[in-house]
Amino acid sequence: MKEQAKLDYIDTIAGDDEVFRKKFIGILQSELPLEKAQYENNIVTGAYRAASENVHKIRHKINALGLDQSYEMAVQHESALRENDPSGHIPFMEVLDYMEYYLKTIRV
Amino acid sequence: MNCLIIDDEAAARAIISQLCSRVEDLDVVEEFDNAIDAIKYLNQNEVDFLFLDIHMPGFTGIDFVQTLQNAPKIVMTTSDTGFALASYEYESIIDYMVKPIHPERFEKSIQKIRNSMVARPKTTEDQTTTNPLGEDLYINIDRRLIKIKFNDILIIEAKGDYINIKTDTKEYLVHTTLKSIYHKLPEAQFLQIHRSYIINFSKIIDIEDNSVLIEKSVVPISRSNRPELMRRLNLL
Repeated sequence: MKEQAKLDYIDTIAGDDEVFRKKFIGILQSELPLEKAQYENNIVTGAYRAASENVHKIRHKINALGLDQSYEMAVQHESALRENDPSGHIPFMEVLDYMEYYLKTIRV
Repeated sequence: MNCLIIDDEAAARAIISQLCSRVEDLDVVEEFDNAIDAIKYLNQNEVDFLFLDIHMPGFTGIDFVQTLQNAPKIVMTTSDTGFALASYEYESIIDYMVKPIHPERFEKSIQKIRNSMVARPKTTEDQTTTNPLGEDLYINIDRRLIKIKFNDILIIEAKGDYINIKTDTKEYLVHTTLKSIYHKLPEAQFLQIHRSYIINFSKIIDIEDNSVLIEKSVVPISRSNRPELMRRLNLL
């Protein structure tokens, strides 16, 4: 994946508050794997409407990590899933895999 | 001021809570990850306003607004701009913020809440104490005296040798000057914010840099009148 995550937005919100910064990144680290698993399960079972809800929730995390292009792609994927079109699944999974890796390796 | 945060995403709640912590006189009294629990809380407690996510599973933010009979003031939050129009159909909704929420936009929203909180109750109080003319104004149109309640007036606009009095339901064109009618209005309720405009304070929805939104009308604020407007708002 070419696009790189950045913490600019989180840093803007946190300011000098390191406690918040750690807490917020902790939320992303703990929630993303669960949401990703739910999303994958919904795709596998053909529950595209539920999968679109998962994408909607994940979108906020994509945004928070400054992945603007991936965010636009997620918006389209969410919309397509509502129309029972899962064609954006593979590129979306690439974004999720990258985010998960980034959050695992990030130094807080 | 105190508020609630209602959002099914912990990350979103954390951001709003953090932004709230920067506002000196604002306390977040509770956070909820679903609308049902928030409704239960509001049945027993009062808050000044709440941040409400529109897109929640099961019971959406709009469902929430429709359910509450005496809803506090509400700032809607969402990732979808498409809901904006629907949200403004409800009187209790003061503002609409699109995620990701940035500090500057958040501050603007807090200011809108402040404006909505100070402008309304004070007007009622002022009418009873400082208005020597009662609650009505009589205007002469085609040899008929028509009564208009001060409270119904939104904007008065100068139109050449006439003034246009705009109320919730009607507009009246009267042959007089803005200066003349200004002296007959309750001082605490009305203010001239431009050479051609007098506005009713209690009808302000929000104030931008150089304009005031009243109902659906955008009224310009002149540079010379702006300090008085701000001073009066502070007084309120």
